Amino acid sequence: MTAAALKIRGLCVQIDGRFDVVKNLSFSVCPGETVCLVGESGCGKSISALSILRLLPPVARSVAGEIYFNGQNLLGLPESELRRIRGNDIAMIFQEPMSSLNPLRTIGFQIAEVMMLHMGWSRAAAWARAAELLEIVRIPDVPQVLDGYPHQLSGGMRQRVMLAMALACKPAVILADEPTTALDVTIQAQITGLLAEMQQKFGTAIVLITHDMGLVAENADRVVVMYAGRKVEEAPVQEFFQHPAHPYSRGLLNSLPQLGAANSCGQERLKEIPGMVPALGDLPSGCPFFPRCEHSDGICREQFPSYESVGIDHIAACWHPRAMEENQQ
Amino acid sequence: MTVVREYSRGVGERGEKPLVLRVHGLKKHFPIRGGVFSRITGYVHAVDGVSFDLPVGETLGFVGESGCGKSTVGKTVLRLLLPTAGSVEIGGRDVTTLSEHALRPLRRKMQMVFQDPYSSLNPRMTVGSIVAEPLVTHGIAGGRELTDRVATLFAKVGLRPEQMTGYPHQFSGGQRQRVAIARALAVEPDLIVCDEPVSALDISIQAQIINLMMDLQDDLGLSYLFISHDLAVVELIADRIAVMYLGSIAEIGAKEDVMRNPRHPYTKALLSAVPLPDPKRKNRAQIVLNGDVPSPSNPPSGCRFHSRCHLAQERCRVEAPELKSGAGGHAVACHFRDIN
Repeated sequence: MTAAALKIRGLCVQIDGRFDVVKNLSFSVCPGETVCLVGESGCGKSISALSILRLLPPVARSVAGEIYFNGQNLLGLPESELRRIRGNDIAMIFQEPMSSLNPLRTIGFQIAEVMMLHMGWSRAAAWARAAELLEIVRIPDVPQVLDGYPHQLSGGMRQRVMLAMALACKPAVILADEPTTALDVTIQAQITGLLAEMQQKFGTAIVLITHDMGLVAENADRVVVMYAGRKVEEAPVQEFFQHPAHPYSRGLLNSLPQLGAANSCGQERLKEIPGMVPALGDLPSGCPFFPRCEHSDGICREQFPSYESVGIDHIAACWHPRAMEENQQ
Repeated sequence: MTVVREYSRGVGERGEKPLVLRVHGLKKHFPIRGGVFSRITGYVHAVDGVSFDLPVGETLGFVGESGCGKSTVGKTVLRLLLPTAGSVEIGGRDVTTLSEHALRPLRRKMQMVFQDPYSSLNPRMTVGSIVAEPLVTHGIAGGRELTDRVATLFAKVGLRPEQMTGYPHQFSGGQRQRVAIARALAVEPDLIVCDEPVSALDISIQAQIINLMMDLQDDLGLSYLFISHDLAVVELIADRIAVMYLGSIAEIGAKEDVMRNPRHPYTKALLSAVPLPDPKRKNRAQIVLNGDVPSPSNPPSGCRFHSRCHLAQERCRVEAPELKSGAGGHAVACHFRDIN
């Protein structure tokens, strides 16, 4: 196995110094690999990504853990050094391309700025490269777009610009936080296709944050499932979809409506996960999933389970992963 | 449940079931204003000639990408928007020509559930009074009876009657959507227009709400016009599916026909673009469309899809294909529907 491009160990993030939004999160991503962070809203997946580049909102703070990139712990770096990495070695793509582009600056300037800043390029060289990047992400009519403003572009086009910007410095790692959630499926297919193509070309490590299991299946090499701030399962993508070990993962996969499952014998009910995600200030002790879990018992209430191996490269934090498989059969 | 439904007089083409809704040639154009005097400089052709029937107790799913006009269809059907042309018959009466006053009793028969349960509930009202409001407005119940009916509605959508005194901010997204559904059910409607009712919800909650809506349909004989961009959800809940592109219906038919045997190149592309939660199928052949959806203020000539269609020929640029009906009411608007 190659050395990880980015390695996160025991990351803890707190809000207001009281609520744990991310607790003891560890995972790593290798060059050329895509790791998907999945989970429902509020499970801590976006906060984890933001804490990697120290972009957390003021109320949140990383209180423990290490984030290794190139042998350096990013959490220990002074702001000035982190700034050299942010956007250069590690780039981020956000969900809403309109709010992450500057409405007052031309597209060309915003892409060129990254290269002028990080690579010390001249304006002319940076603009020429910006034009090239827009070609790479297949934007039609490049000269016009370079001089245009974000509001003149469609959502899909804006997300292409974000992608071009992220690629400007050939980053080793791209953090993509729901990059296609605001887009229509046909445009989504274009963007994920581009991302995969870029990854092959440059060997980029990608952390893809999403709640869409379809995107996970089509893009991930490995899957990390989060629930209420904890990693509850990690597995290679095939293994995850075939043998999900954690009851939450299993519940998520079962509650998906399946495309192409239309049958003439009438409607089928979806399997639901009862209850709802606990509120931050009201996390149950022990395993956070126990109030919604059909296999929970005394021990689940008391203690968060340790990560146990349940297959090749497959770990889960559950007291009863086996009991469940037996039930399934 | 013994609700007498005597008004559905119109009988559909397919004969058997009476229709709750019949829409014919529906158009909605929004003016674009510009210049110093806000003159009308053009029109957005949001909906441009849409016709369909909805039999009692069935669900018609509307799918399409953003800006295709599916939400405008929903709003025009309920006359939240006045159509530019065409007719909308609810229980056999054309609602497009009625006065507000005459429309009022008919409003009871049609309700709506919106996408965002955070903005569709008044934050200053208790959820109990939100659900009670339509009953009061229509003068259906008051006093003790009102409280009882609201409690029954709460139970029906899976909320506890004690929760009536809470305010919307005290509820999660899924619970708020339950409140919105209870409000829609309060006046015992026949038709509920659901505009992306589960799109803002997490997967595990989405399943709960879809199941609830299907159960309610079985119990109460409701008809749904279900608008969504999520094809898997629509396939699950709908009996028939209409695929919209740039203001008109590209394909409509029974869900099995549309999903299993799509005939319009746009439907095919749309279906193949949906990522499937199955890594074994990730290398399946996909049709990736080029470019963006054109602007509805200046739609392409001829077939609206021709600018992105791999089958497009000269004829498509000039002549708009008719939505031609085939076996089982499976209609496709494409010149090459038979070759395809």
